[in-house]
Amino acid sequence: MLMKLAYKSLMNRKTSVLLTLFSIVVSLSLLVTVEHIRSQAKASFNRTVSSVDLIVGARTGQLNLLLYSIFRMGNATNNVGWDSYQAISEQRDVVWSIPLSLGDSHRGYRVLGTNTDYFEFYRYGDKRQLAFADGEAFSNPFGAVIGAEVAKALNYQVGKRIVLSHGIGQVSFTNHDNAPFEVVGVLAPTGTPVDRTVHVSLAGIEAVHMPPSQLQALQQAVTEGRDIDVEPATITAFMLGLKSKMSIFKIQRSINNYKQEPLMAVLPGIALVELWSLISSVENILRVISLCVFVSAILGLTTMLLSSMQERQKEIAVLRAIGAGPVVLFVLIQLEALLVTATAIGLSLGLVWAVFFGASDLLASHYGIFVSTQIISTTQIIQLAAALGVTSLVALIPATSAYRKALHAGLGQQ
Amino acid sequence: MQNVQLAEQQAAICLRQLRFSYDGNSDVINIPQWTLESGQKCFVFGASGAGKSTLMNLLCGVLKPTAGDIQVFGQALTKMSARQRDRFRAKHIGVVFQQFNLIPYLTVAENIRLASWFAGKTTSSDDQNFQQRLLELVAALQLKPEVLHRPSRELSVGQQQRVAIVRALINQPELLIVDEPTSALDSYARDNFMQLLMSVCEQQRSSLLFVSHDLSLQSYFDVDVNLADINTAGGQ
Repeated sequence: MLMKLAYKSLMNRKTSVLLTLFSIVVSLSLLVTVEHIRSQAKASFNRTVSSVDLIVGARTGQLNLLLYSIFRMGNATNNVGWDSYQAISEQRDVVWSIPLSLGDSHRGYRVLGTNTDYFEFYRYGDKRQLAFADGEAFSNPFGAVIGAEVAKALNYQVGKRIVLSHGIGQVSFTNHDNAPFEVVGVLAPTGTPVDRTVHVSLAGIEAVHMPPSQLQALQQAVTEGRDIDVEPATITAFMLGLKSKMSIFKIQRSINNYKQEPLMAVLPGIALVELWSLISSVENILRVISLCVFVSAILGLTTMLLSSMQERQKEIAVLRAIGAGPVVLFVLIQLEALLVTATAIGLSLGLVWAVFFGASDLLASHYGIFVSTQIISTTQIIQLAAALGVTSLVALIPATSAYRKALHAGLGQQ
Repeated sequence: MQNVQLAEQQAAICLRQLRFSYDGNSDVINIPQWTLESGQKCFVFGASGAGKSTLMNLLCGVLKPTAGDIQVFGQALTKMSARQRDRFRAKHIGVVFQQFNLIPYLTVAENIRLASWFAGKTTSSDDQNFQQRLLELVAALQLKPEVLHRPSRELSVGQQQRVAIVRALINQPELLIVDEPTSALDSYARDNFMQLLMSVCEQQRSSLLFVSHDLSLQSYFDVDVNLADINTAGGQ
């Protein structure tokens, strides 16, 4: 009954209530969005790589190395010699190594040259191995394995012939038209940058950059089933899996002091933490801003309720006359405030959900952040409960005003 | 305490050594002794500032007297907590004001239902009794049943005042306190209103305390009291 009264009373002041509601929806949407992106980005970053002990590349910043090797963002400043790669990966403590060769693209998706160890040893999320949704790993220089999103977005299936371009733009001027690849495998979705990658063999990357005559010879050899060893001169980076965690620092030191070539090795976990701390300061600023917006919206709600108290003096007298105590009036005003905020919570969750539903592709392609539309999380619930708490706290002002009016004004209408 | 059926033979209102002042100032009300017998219709008049609304607030239990005793049908309001007095008012006293009696954004029926809700009638069987009683009272006050579902702000003043009586009587209160209910009505509507009020009070066997300064209404009542005669403090 009180709820109905609160609702009707709000509807009676539709315009000001709707405006207030709108401002709270905006502020809560901001809060919810920031929190959702934060948690999703963190999860998305952290799940991208697992079980990789070291990432090795040319000497650069550790963030830069992490970004281009794992997240396929930005470019390497320099390459790693094939000899160095072989020398390091043959060390005793190394169990597996995955070479990475970047720099080409296919219709805006990065092309990664690697070997079949990639499909065997690369882990993401909770130490999960890459799985094939269709087809299998490449076995010749012209086989390509595409990520789930590439397959979906470009509508590619196994057997599709594709062409790689040099450079990483969506539109490239130098298409390697004379090196047609064939899709031989499609990976299952991972929710990591792997989904957005076209994987080919290192030989394939070499083939792309071969002069036509050499390329034709290679194609000839492949069709005839002859085995031709195409060794790259350089690769972009490589990942290492070690026998024991104890040897990580030893190997890292030896790579960092590698005489033949300036190299660096980073621990992905540590680089991720650094990446994260960089992002979290931005995220904290966003949080503070959205919190300020929220507080001002709630103050707007209070102002609206408080200014309505004057015109509601007679209403209070009527409610008093039919037996409502001061506490009832206090509760009524609280209910009105909470009703507005609760409605705003519902609306903003819906709004944010819709936005992420629409924008998840954009976020993935531009920022490498894989965002789920599952907005509700424990933190989110705590945050929204806190929003209700703040509302109730700030609504103490008009509610107390109603209480006092009820207590002192009496039933007279003068 | 509230659930005890109030005895009919007791005085409707009994005031003894009643004194009231706002925040320790001089007394607004000082009534050594006054009684309204059960079932009587009493006309209380006095100039403005004679303490009429203060007395009304005291009788309704909204204000607490500085000293003395107020009994309504044998129940001592002065011994109840504020919450108990609110409850008592909801169940046993119907109040009709000068003008603003209804919440404008609720329908007529919702306004009246709210009054029965505050009297603690919340179950579905209460709901059925409520519907029945509502229709009886609406008929008794010559209101059309269609009016029930209209927002009360759409009603004329005369209709609103009649709805206010329905609202005041919905919980079968033993005492009806009415404060200048006709001041916003023209003379035809006023006479009509007074006749309906009297007949419905008789029908419901409610005691009536009618506060006004309009002496032309005096003829409708069993007893009349000049507030200046019983209130030695003489108002503000």
